Amino acid sequence: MSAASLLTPTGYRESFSGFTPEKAPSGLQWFHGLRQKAYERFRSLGFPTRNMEPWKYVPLGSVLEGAFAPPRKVSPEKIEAAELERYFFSSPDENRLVFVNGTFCRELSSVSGLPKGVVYQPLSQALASSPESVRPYLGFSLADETNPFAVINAFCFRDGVFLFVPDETPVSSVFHVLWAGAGEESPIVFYPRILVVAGTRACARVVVTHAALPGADFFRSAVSEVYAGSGSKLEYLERGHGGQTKALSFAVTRFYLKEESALNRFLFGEGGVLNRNETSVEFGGENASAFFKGFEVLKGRSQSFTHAGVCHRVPHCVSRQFYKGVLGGESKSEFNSLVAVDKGAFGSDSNQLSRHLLLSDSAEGYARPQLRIDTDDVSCIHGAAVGKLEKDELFYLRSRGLSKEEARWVLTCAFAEEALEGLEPVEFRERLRGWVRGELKGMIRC
Amino acid sequence: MLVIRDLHAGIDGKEILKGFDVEVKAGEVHAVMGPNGSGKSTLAKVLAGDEHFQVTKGEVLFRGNNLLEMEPEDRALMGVFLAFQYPVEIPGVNNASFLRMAYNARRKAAGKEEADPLEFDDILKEKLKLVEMDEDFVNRSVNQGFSGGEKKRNEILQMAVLDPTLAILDETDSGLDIDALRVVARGINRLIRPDNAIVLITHYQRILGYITPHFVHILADGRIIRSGGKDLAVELEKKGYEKIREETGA
Ligand SMILES: Nc1ncnc2c1ncn2[C@@H]1O[C@H](COP(=O)(O)OP(=O)(O)O)[C@@H](O)[C@H]1O
Ligand SMILES: [Mg+2]
Repeated sequence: MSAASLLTPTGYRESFSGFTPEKAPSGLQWFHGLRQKAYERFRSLGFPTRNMEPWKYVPLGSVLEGAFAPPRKVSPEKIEAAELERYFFSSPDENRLVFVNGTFCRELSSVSGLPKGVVYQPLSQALASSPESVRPYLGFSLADETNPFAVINAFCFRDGVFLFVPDETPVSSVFHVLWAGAGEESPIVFYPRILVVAGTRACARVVVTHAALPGADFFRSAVSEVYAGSGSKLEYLERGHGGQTKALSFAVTRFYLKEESALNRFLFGEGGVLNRNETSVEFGGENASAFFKGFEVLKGRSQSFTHAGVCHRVPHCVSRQFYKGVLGGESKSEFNSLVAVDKGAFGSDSNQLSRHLLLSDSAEGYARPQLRIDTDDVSCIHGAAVGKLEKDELFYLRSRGLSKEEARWVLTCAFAEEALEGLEPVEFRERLRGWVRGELKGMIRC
Repeated sequence: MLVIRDLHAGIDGKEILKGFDVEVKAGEVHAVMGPNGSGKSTLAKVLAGDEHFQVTKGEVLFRGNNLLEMEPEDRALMGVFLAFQYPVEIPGVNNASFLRMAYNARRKAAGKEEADPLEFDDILKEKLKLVEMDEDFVNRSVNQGFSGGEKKRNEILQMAVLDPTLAILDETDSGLDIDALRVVARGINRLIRPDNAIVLITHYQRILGYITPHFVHILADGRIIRSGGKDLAVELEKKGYEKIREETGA
């Protein structure tokens, strides 16, 4: 029986009873085995409940009781090009893979001039043409996976992206992956998947855009696995736009960092109905560093849950978590971060900072920084603040003639600026900044 | 220009100003002196429109308008300027763009054309010279990481840019070294014109060596206990607040 026939019209949870994963499209034995293993793992994990700490505040009902059909193939002509184009880079250095409702869209994609040995293509193609390059890495996080939705992705995903940057290869152009969700007759479910492998001392910059097009109504459950080889440098920037749609979005991103590698991870989110984003970093070698920066702008009744976990298993690694959120309307946001320092991981250096700015009385921001330290000689700092605009600052600006609205806008933009400054590529930052400032202007009118 | 009658104001139910009266005419400089905690900053903030304070009695007229009913920004646009005793640091807000916004808000309110960034740059450069401030300061966040003296200079810079009709300076002289004091005094003296007025709140007589007030008022426990000419400041310096208080029976 196929997943497709079972996913409708019953609820999502329901659709997994009496279910067997379909045969992997490629017909590869090991790949089928991987999906089978994932399925078994799901069987033992089951769906989460709100008694579980990582799911405690997430309104799971909208996903578990929701009825989602598998997506049809959307023809590219039906997509409003302008809706997607605003996410594209104007620079010719952009290598772009575009997916609509989970299906690769060749017409909107463009990849060219990659250095020798670099592979950047849809997973389906990679599995067909060079499965052996995918095999050692695909599903590397599965053995320890505790998030049932990530496990489901592993046996349900249809396609995805494979990026492989060989040893000693710096790539200056941007790898841009765009997952667009477009409206169909009924709500759909799709499973984006990304696998990034950076070889020894490789350098790469990845931008992932999740866009919900107007009228979109979907449940998107994404998984990204990122493997950073020794001494590699990775920029991993992600922006999610749920807009005014009914989008439900879960995403899990697993980073595995070898010694002396450096990761810069940025995550932006806005809109939709429900977002849950889980990022974890595992250090697999000494002297590696992971910088995580999250930023959100929420309004209406959007809810967002950002979980970031770092495991210092080996000595002398550095991790930074920095989160900011601007919350308006009746929106709700949780930043939940965990830093674990294992026995023997001496010289670990971590900090966790978060700030929620509430623009309305009904918005709710929660910060839950957690630390688990099993060793001495470490530096772990954490701090969290949830609050409104400073009255004294507002008064100061108004006493110079700025209107109440202007003053609020200036201070809110200043708050956002700290999350945006220094982001590269510059075009990514400028576009996002433009969007954010416009959005904040609308939000401060209250 | 400014008339304050029987002003009572306080915070959280605690009365701080207890019947303050003064009349300031165009072209005048008034010094308000008083010991710590006498209500000087409260007066300044009430005039600027700080919502933390509640006015329980009295009235304030500025050029015939009921100042107390106006929003802080409308007071500013009408020409009221407060140099804060403790200017707040505003991370992430660029000093120059903030100044330009404030400048243009005032131009707009006066029915004048707004200045574009280049035009404003010239204006700003000239004012920076006046307060002997480095250009670096305007490219930083408002007051962030400024020393005490730098914050005070920044207040005077803002005052110079906004060219107010009524400037209320709350202990702008405190904590300044002699050079900074001279610069600040020069900025203030520039503003003394027949159509302007200055309320100079100060704790010490020191700044009055550079700026000559037409009137000196001594504030104690929320009201003026004595008013006089510039000589009163000299007398106060000799006798101290306690003595004067005793003499006036306050
Ligand atoms: N925000 C506040 N909350 C409570 N009390 C205050 C506040 N601001 C001032 N006060 C009190 O009001 C009185 C006058 O203060 P202030 O006007 O600052 O005096 P001055 O500027 O003359 O030193 C003091 O007793 C002070 O403690
Ligand atoms: Mg004071």
